[in-house]
Amino acid sequence: MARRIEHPEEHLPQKHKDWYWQRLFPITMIFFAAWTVIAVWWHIPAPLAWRTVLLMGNMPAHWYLAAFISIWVGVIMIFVYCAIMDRVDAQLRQRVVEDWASLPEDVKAVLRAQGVGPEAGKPAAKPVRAV
Amino acid sequence: MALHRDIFRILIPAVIGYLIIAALIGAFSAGMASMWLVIGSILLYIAVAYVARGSTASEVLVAERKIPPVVNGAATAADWMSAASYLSMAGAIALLGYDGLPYIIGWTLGYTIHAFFIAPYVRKSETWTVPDLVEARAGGWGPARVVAVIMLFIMSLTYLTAQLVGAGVVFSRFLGIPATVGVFGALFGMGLYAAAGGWKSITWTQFAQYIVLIICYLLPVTIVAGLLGLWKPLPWFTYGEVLQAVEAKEQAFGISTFTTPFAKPLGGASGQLNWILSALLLMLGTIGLPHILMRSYMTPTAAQARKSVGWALVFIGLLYMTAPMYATFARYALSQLWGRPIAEIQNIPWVAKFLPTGLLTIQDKNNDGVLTPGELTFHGDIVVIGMPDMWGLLWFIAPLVAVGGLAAALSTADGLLMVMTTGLTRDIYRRFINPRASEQTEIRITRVLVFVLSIAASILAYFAIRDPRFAFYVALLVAWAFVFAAAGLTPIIILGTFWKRLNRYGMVAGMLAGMATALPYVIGVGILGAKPWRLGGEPIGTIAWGCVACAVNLVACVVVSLLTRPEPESVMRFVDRMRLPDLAIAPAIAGGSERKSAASER
Repeated sequence: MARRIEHPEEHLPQKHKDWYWQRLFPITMIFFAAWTVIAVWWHIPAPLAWRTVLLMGNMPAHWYLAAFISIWVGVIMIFVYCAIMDRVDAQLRQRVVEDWASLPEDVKAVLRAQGVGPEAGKPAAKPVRAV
Repeated sequence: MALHRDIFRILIPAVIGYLIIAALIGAFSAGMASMWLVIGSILLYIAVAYVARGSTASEVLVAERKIPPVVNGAATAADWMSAASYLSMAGAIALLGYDGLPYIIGWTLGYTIHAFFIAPYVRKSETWTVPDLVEARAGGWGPARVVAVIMLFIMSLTYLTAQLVGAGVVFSRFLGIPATVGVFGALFGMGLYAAAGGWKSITWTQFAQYIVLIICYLLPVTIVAGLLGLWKPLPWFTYGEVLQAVEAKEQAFGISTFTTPFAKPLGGASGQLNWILSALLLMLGTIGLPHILMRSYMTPTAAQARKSVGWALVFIGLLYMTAPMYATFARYALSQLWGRPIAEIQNIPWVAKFLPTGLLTIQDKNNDGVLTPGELTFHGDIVVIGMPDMWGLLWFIAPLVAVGGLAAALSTADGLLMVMTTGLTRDIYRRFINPRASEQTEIRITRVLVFVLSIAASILAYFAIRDPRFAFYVALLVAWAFVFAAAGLTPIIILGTFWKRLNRYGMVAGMLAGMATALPYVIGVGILGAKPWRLGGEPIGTIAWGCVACAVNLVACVVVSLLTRPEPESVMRFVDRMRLPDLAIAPAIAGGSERKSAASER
């Protein structure tokens, strides 16, 4: 009996799943480590060591780090992370298409229906006029 | 796109009409015009809700999963920024100085890890609610869902009550209406547009409310910045000059300066460790709050869910970077009163206006007739509410601040109301009581429950306003909602994607252990007044304690999962699906029908 494929990603070959995870995990952890700097680490020396340091507009550095800089570094980190992950996602799609032959037929059919596959992007065949 | 066009086609002339009516009424009576500005804004939100109303389960529960990332980001920001953010946060910073800044980083940087660890995976799970996700990850084990629903209610009901209290306070502070009556006014507006179409109408209403609240928040403070000559080029970069002036005055009077670190208690304790753990807890709590998690379900793809978090932080950041500026300007205005004769000060119009309200108090302790810093106390709410009066701005600025405050309170209340409603309909009624209920029955029950829950929360808010002791506990419980979120949900949501070995028993043990660690400490230290425990020699307040409870949850999850059998292969495939991106760049999601069938089957 043919199985019902709801989510083709679940049925990708393990090598594709592993490839993606081996990229996603370290990228996420690097960004997480960077996040700890703005969320925790730089607020440790700031109140004592940088209290007398004045930034632009006579702003005390320890104040401005928490009240302004941390927020916007956090925003930039999200968008950079998004851009990197979008590229990794695209690479996975490319790998799936290149490895099309190894996919089970039912998975291919569902992916084709979603517009994924070697034929995607090519002009559709002209409809045959009924005779 | 048609919906966007419809909303703007109706909203733009409606806003113009609303402002024209306000101007016409204002020509005769400023008080009546203020009243119209506040009440008219609720009518505008109801109009948006009805244009964007939903009629299918997909529209009511997940806004059809068709909300663009920028709109979802703005709606998340409105969902997030409550009356506490709008009215009280700047006040807390004005009172606490540097020791209040954990609110700024704590309530913003949680979104960064939300984008890394949560949003795309929640979206990719294609579940419908947070308890639905918890059950799916627990291999379809019902008790996990029930525990998640209980956690969700503990967090959301207290938070919703406080939002309605905030709405009542806005009505009373600005319009002179008793706050108890204002609560029911807010209930009327909120119930109407939440019932109109669930998350779809709420999302578009929150989008409109974000625009309103951010304009109303920025307007007075940027005008004051202009009066102080800080537009060179932007006041957010130059208000340090005012900060220096405040500190010079404080030094002249021999008191602790505004930016002195660890001088005032936060959550019942002070010190650097308490400061950092409090900020960390607010971040961890932010990502575990169900009404914020829910927003990840509403974008078309997982990648867009990630981007929408970025937009949310942009929109939230605009308000949060402005709050310290509000605090600085308010302290500057207040510091200008020090050293002057009290009799003269009491005749200053804005001082005379706020003295009877209790937001400002003057007490000549040494009977010398001259005001010293210790003789002037203020309530945090005066910082935002009083800004237009302190600086003599035009009359219509003050009611606009009220309109923004009301938008903030109502937008958060909507989200919380909807989370609780779907928790009862989808997670309890549809899952356990009547699994064969039709879509229309589910929607009907949702609409009824919106009203029932909003009335229940309004009654709680009514008592909170009437009884100052109860109000005190509600205010505390709001801060603790973050403790409970971090202690209850955050670790299992992250581990659910990033650690396949996590199983159903680990999840339930983690949620219960986290809550069992958080609750007694919060009650003991926060309510019964017990001495806070010390960690590394420093006292740990109730907010900071949430980090310990979160860690206990994490350890319980890991230990219990390792001691019990792993989840079956079907759950591993579910985790794989959450981790992998959408293979179709623009997946077919029309009406959410494809996903609906998948979720229903599960």
